[in-house]
Amino acid sequence: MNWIKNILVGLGVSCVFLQFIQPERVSQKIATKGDFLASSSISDSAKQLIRASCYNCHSMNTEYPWYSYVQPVGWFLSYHIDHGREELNLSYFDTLSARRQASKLKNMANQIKDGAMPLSSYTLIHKEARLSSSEKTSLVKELFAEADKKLDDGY
Amino acid sequence: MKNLFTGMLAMTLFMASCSDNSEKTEVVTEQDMQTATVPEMPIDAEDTALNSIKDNTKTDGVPAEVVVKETVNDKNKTTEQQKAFNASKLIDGYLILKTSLTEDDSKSAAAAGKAMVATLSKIDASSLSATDRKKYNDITADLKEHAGHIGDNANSIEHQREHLVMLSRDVDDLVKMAGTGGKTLYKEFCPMANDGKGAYWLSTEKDIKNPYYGSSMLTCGSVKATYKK
Repeated sequence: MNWIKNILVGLGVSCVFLQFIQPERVSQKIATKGDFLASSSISDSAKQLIRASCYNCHSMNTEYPWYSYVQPVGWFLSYHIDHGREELNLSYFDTLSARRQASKLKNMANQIKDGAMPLSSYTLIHKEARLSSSEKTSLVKELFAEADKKLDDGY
Repeated sequence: MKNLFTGMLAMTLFMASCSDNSEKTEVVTEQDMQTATVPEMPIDAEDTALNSIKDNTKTDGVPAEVVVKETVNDKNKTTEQQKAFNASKLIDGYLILKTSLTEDDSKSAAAAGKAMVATLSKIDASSLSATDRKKYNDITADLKEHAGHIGDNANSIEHQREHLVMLSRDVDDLVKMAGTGGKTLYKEFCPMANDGKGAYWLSTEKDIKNPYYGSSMLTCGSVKATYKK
């Protein structure tokens, strides 16, 4: 059974080596010029909910947890965050056209309403990102109203 | 010892290849995407260029007569509109998508959404003025997102219907720019859709068949406007 031992040791050593391949992390401490929280006219309480529930994956202001430094977990997180920013990057929100902003706001509202976002796999660990049903209701209402403001062109 | 070395090497290589993917942290902002929409289009740039030299009036396999007919039929159109792009295939795609949702057929809606995204890249909007081009890019960037999401959500008709709200608006705005593609289109409205705020859709039929509710409330709605061909 020498070969089993060899493989196990090999895996162990590999894991150590993996730690040297770290994904790039982008985490700005200051808000960018087009930041959603700076430009949006939603209430402060709604902004706080967005900050706590969305910003880790949907902005450049990601707060990376300690386990993001452990591979391959960090790669998995990095993949999710990249995809999140691709779909919606709140750090550059105000650089979008009115139409695109309205679309994104409606998508946000719908995703929260349907319980698709924030991801349950995320809120499992991040208790601070969980939204109560009353928080969801008020947030969804505000986001829809904000979307309609952007689209005020008599369509 | 040989085993140990091979195992280690294999694992590292495997993981490193995963890491290559995940390290791609280049952030695609919407602005990038909007500006990228048009330049990335021509897959066979040389072919397209050749074709346009050979025949200026033809736009990507769509019969040129459709465009001509429209400009002849409607003499009130401004020169700006005459120069617009041909949106008929995109409108056809939208109509299939919308009809699929009236029939509660999410799979067919998803296929139509994907087809719309594919069609989008074949539209030649190069003759538009800079202002119209900007507007066109804005509308199509939005349309691409909604059609794409509908394409990706064959298992969630509710999610598809959410995206139909803005998709319909985008197509409506394209119709305003480029005409109806030879059809008479009715702009129809359901006051209950879109979380009770109401939503429009376009149809070739006056009879209401509601894509936001399908069979559960098929005839809810009314005609609000008509786009004549």
